[in-house]
Amino acid sequence: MIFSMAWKNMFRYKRRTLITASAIALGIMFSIMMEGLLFGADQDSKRNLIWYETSAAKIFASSYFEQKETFPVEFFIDKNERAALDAFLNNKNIKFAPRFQTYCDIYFSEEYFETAGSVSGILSAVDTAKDSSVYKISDEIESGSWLAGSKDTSIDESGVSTGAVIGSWLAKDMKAELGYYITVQCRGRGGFIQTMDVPIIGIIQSSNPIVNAGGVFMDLAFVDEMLELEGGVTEYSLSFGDISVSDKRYDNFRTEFKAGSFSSADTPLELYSWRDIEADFLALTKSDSASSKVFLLFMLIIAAVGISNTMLMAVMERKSEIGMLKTLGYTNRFIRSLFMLEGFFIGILGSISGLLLGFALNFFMVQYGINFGSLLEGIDIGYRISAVMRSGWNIPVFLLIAGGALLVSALSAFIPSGKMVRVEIAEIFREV
Amino acid sequence: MVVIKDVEKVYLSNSENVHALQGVSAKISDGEFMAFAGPSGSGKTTLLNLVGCLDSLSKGSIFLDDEEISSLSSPQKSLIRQKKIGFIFQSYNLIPVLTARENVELALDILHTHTKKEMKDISYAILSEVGLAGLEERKPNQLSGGQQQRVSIARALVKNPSVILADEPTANLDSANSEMILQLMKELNKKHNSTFIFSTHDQMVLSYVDRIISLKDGLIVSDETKRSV
Repeated sequence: MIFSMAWKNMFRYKRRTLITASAIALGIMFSIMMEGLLFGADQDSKRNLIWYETSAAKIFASSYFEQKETFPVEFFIDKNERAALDAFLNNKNIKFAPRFQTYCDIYFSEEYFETAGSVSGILSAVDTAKDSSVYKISDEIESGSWLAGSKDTSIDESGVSTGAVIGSWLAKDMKAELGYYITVQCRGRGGFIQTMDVPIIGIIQSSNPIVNAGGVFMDLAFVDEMLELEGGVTEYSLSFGDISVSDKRYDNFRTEFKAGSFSSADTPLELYSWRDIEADFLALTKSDSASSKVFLLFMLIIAAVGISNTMLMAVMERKSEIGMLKTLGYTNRFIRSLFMLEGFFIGILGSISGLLLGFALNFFMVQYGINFGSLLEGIDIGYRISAVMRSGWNIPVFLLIAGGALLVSALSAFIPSGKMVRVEIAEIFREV
Repeated sequence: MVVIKDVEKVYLSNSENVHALQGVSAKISDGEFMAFAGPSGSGKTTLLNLVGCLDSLSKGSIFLDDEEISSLSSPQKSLIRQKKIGFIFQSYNLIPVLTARENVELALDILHTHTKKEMKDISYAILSEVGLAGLEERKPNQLSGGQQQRVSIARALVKNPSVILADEPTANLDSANSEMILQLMKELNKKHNSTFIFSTHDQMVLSYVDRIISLKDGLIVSDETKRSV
């Protein structure tokens, strides 16, 4: 009887029920959209970090990690260590790519460019044979060629590429075109300043804004000679295959790495996952997640106020019915449950509608996303998304949002109904 | 049987103590068809509420079928109302979203003593008895005032209570409907030997009852039997 009554009561004031359920539905829809966008941005960023920036894990020389933000040129994995490390990684069947990375200034003159000037970037000297087994940068060439590729016109007689591949936003800033020469200035091993005049042989348009905005890629063999690296590199980038299983494989590898001789040497090599390297990014996503929870809380408060108001009006209008139910011997708990159930039913109506609307909107956002295009070129939002921001399907959270709204809907009837059922029956009839 | 012994009721109204009843005593036997009468503020509805376990008294005691009901806790009073007391209100107080049958079943459902089918059969029977055969599945807004009051009477009677309390049951009805309703209640009183207690100042109601206890300013001023008022 209680279910039947609560269900029928819900349709008693159809417009009011519809407005309240709509408010809940809209709240859920926007919460799903926001959660979906953040989840999508989070997933895309993680993928773009691993594919273009951090790889799944990196091995550094001792003390490098603490100063990694400055790209120091004092801590190297030396030639002899590299040979042993290569053998170890090959033995474990881990894909790897040695790299030398440092900050650089890029000077461009009027000889090639409209105006002379300079910009800053991050020089990545890569092993052209191994880099594409770890990173996907070589797949993202917008124009020209990847280093030592078939269209690379800068390859010298020993097969070394002497050109540079730069990010598309960087190229746009400089108004650079293929074949233009730039002067890349950075510090070599030991700290001396070196300049390298190199032609632009390729331009990258990747999904990672950091690569697009500041990436300068050159052949490790060429840079080794120019910066006197003596076969040393600043890092080894590692890949553990598909991203979905990468973290687990990393954990297994870490155990093996720690048990190996590299960790016990006088100057041990250090292994870090992308999560260690991008701890700041993860903190950002966590804080964004907290912000979205605040939004969710607001949504729930709005739902609570809406339902509470609806139920308060219902309770006030049904005073005599409450009194009558009490005269029939129905308990306060029954009457309160009747109103809470009614609130719950309105919550179900709102939640289902909200889920359907939210899923439809999210489907659109997953398929097409929002193209922020040039807006993202000028600002750093922390996320590694270069143009189109797409949503993701975070189904457990979506269901949690709807469940939360449902719970709040039921609980919101608690106070207004509770107040009325405590009043003496005679008092209720006196007031009616 | 209802026994009222030295009942007093004081309540607070606008920060002042109002003595609604000042030592009222009466005895109402099973099967009586009687009324508490008196002008507004005489205490008749207060007395009806106390007998119906709807309110708490300040002093005295009330017995229903030899059980003192005035000292019971709120849940115990709920049980008494469930099983032993039927109510008929001036404004019917039917649930508008339920049909006539469902409104009647509401009084049975709480007893948890009948199956759904039994409740339906009993409700149909009692609705037929009050002259609503064929209208069982109509909602209150599809019934006239008189028909709604008949549903209310059926709801009060359906559980065979010891006593039926009716607070101004004809106040919202025209005279023709009032007459029909009173006639019906009188018949039911005779048929079921149910005790009917009215609270009213309606002369038509008073002309139907067999006994009138008149109240004024919270005191019984007369107790007369067989239309001798």
